[in-house]
Amino acid sequence: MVEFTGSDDDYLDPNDDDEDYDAYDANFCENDVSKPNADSIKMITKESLLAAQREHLRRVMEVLSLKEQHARTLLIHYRWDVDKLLTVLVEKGKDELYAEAGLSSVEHDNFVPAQLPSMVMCIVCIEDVPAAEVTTMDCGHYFCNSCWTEHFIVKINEGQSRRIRCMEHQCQAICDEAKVRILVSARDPNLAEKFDRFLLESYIEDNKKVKWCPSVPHCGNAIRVDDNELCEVECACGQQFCFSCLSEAHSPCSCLMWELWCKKCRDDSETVNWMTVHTKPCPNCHKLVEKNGGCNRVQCICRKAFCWFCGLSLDASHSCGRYKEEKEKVNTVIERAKTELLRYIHYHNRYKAHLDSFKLESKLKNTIQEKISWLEETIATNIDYRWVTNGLYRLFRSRRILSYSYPFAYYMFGDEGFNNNMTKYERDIKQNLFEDQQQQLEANVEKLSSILEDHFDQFLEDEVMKMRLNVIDLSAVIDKLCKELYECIGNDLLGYHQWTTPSIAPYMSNGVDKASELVVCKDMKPSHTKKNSGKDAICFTDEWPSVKRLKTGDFTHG
Amino acid sequence: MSGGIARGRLAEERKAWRKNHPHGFVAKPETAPDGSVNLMVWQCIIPGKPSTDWEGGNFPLSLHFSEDYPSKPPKCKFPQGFFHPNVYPSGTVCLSILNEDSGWRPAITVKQILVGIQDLLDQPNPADPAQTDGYQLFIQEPVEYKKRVRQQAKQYPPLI
Repeated sequence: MVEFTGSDDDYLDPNDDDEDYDAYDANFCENDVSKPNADSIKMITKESLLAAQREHLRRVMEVLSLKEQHARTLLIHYRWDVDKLLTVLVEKGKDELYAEAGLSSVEHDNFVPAQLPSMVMCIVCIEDVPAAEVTTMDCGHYFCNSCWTEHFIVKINEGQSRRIRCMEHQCQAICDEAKVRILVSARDPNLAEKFDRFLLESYIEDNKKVKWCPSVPHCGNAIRVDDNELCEVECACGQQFCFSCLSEAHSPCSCLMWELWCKKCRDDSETVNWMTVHTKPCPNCHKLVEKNGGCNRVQCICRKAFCWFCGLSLDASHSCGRYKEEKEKVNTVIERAKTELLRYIHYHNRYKAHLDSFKLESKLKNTIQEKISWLEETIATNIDYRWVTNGLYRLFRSRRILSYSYPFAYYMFGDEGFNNNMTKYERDIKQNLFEDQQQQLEANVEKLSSILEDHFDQFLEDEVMKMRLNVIDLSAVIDKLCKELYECIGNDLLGYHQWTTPSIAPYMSNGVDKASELVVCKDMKPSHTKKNSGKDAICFTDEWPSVKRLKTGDFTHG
Repeated sequence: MSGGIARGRLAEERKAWRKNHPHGFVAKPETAPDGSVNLMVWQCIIPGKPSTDWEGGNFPLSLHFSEDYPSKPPKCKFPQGFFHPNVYPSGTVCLSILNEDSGWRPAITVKQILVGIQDLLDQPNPADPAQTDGYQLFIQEPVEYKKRVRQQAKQYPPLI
């Protein structure tokens, strides 16, 4: 067992001036105030979704002087990536930009449909209808209102109404949402509301920077990450998750490894391995047979007797005692399965042990809280006990990291294809380095865990001070070791393959970033409203059911 | 308006077809033994194009319409095991204009569907294989492929 903080670099000299501790202590407390890390992680609620969308819409409307519905059609096509949209504009021009997104005829702002005769034939229902009951889309194709409505309803019910194409053969145009809204609400106002909600939610569904919080039951929030999408976040509902793969926060294990690991733990691949090692198929009925006695002449329930050594039928010609070259093969297959099973058990046990400790230590939180309250009530000193809770927090955090470091190691140093480019020699060196770091972290975490279980409520004052110094020291050491472990994994191990994308979420000393609420800009009124009177205004305020849910002050509309 | 416009539209399609349809094609709604007509299933015949390997074949195809037609495309099926790179083993035709998520539009007529499938016969789309047999021969053994196509055309002689 590695002695607690064996190395000199990791351990602060106890003879150091006491001020250093206080400085660290204070510093630590300050950091611990759950300050949302960056402005880059935002929580979007039902209420702020519209405003979040408007930010993007407004930019596009201003640059291209478009109406809101057309800007939305463009943005849905370009997956709410304004920069990409502008790149296409610069590189390919406006026409191409519009054509790709299925936007037609927006150049002439006041599109006047071709004059139709008083009666026209709708080529969908093949009936003659009065021109007044016909709607012409921007692409110039017209059909009767009833056929349009029917078409829209099918699309809305299928959840495919964010981009409804024109009904004409080979026409790529997207139907104007305002026209869809008018026709659908005439038939079914609830469905029109659904249509609007889908458009609103496109900002989440069709956007790689925004994802629904995976909480169950669903909290209704979404998270937007503006910078690095490979990160771990915490929603206001308390759910922590990996933004990249939406499963629990699992760093320093990579998403792919974590996915494989969960699958491995879930399904019975290991049962299969066990059966490979401990059973043999009957040569007659192919059922798997386990040997329950010493005799190697095994009889299956189908009454077939076979040889346990070679798995073959025991007939007159059976002679597996004689050496033949091929038999080696069978043995190695079994041996390999056996080794692989033991290897999995090794990593899984440690992964599980740390998780179990984590669960037990969670109870410690209450015990410690009780001790602190008791102390604060009975001893009227103004001693600050935040160092205990801070230490506890460090313990929880590092416990999880340790736990996830085992699935990582299982894949990194196994034969699962994560180490293609390393020679055996390189791999052994790297594995040694990694395991040294992991061991060091583990030793310190256990030490911290045991100290925190002490009954400091019964300690004399100098004993408490000694414990305090220990906890602060250990916390600092553990923080540093965690950081180094992430660096080792990110740079030396996974970063070894130069071409692969960054593989793990960065280490956050203060824990997973909490999403801050999206601040809604007060001046969100679409500037376009005034210019377009009458029928265009439909796309704005009044038609949006969600607008009404906005808190006053968050959003002003005309 | 439950029930939609499917039946009305199909009745009109039938009328339009009787008035005028491309030569050699057959398309009519299924008739039950009791004489009643089921507009939702059509039995059709697609002739192989002249001067192609498909010439001489009269390929039976059934169209299955849903209540959501024409918002949704009909399912088009050749007999099971039909030899063509873009026909599933079940006989279902894989063609962009018949795919709800890409090329299908409510304005596409039965005539356009049938002509589209006739075109597909001689111009398979190797980007979208639906069966291994037809696809592999088409890609790797053109001679054998042609032979199989001509053989199949003979299997479906014109009805006299």
